[in-house]
Amino acid sequence: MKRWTIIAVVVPVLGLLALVGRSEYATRHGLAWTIPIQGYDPRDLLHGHYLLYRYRFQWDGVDTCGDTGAIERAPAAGCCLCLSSVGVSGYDPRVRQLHCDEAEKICDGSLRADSVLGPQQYFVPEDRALDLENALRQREAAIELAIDPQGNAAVRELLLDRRPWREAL
Amino acid sequence: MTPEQAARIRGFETTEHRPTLLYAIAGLGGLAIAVGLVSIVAANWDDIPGRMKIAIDLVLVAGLGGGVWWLEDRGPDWARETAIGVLFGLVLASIALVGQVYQLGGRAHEAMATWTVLTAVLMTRARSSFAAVMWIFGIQATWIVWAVWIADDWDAPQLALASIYVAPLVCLALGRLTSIQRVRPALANTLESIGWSELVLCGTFGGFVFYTDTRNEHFDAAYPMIAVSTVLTIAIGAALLRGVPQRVLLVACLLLSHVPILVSPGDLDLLAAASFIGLWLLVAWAAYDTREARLVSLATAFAGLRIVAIYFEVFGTLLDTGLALVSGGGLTLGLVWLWARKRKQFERELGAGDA
Repeated sequence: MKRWTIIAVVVPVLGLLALVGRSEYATRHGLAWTIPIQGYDPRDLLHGHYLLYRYRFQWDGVDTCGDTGAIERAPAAGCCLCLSSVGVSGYDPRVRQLHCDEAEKICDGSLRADSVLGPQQYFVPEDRALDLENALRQREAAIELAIDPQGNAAVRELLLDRRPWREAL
Repeated sequence: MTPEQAARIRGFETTEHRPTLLYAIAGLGGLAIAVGLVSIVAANWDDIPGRMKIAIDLVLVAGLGGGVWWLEDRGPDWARETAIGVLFGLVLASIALVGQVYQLGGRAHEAMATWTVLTAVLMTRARSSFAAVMWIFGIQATWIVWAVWIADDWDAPQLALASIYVAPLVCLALGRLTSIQRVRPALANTLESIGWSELVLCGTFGGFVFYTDTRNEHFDAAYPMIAVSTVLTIAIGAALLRGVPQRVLLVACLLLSHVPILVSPGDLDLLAAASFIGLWLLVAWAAYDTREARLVSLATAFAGLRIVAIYFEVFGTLLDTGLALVSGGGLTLGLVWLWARKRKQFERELGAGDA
């Protein structure tokens, strides 16, 4: 019986360590890309303790995946976003939507559309929320992503005027 | 002695001789700590670097885990149960903390599933009803979050809605298993109580759908889950329940939870009222059959209250309402007299020990 108790208390610790390790690995490895963002609802940027945003992609070129006839282009489930560098910084790349196997071969970076679908959340400290909300209305905001070879994205940092938001405020 | 009687005696012995107030206060303290930890994480305090927060959190989780291990043999029981409850909440807070620090984007269904998996073995070590309630509601919360995700991401709200009914059925089935009744009687009793309560609640609310026209709604996507509920109901009724009243009640809950939603043409006021009264009279019958005197009184009181409520919804004009209230008042007094008389009779039959 005691053995089961040991398993019972060790499993949560190991599980949390695995979660931390996986997240740490994802943010430290992979190619860095920076995508401009905008508030999901411009009237109400911060919902409680997190910023609700969406990516503002610089669409360019012809899509071959998703709703290719749509007037307003948007990431589609199951597709990949083909990122093409503008300059060397990885900031605000040109984007078009392709099938993932194609994007992995021909693009500078390939980002799974599923990981950027719908409203995204960025957690902020409650005592800085008001300052951040005001800054977001006046400055250019962007998210720095680390994208692994499979196209999965991990958020590294929220940038204001291309600087980490804690430094910029 | 039947296995069911043995399980009831075992359940009584393991729960009734515990200092209930001590458990309640300790449980509330543990719950307050767990909720407080979640709240601290939600505040996302910025003065401590994220990785430092995670390191402190992991030390807390490991320390509390060590405490659970230490208390396993040495006791006291209430301290072990409280430590398990706090650790259960702390693991959820820790997952949320990792999500915040690494900006994992708030995928609540994945976080809840991770929490459920990581704490599953831990919660099987608990022996109190309080910990059982925490665990069952935690799993059900995970179930609901997944249902919401299925409704949104699969665009299948009907399927998600129908899946909700499966949760109390599973609780009831698990609570009736003799293997769980033997090893964790408090957990089995809690599973059965929560299962029955939620099934009756579903049936009660299902009856209210008779007021609404649902014929234009499309519930095709819900049929697979309704089939699962039907199969589970038949299996539980055939294999795990003993008395006829409980079986009838189980089938009534299934029908009332689903049929009105599928076929109601709306404005069936009397049928809505009759279904409510019928369901709660079935609850009273089942409670009478299992010698639960207080539940008999409660169920018959609900049925009586619903009869009184009919007056206020069925009649329209002032004259109708006046006449109805006069005759209805007389009927109510008659019902109260009958109820009081039958209640005393039931209590005599069920014995003072249960009342």
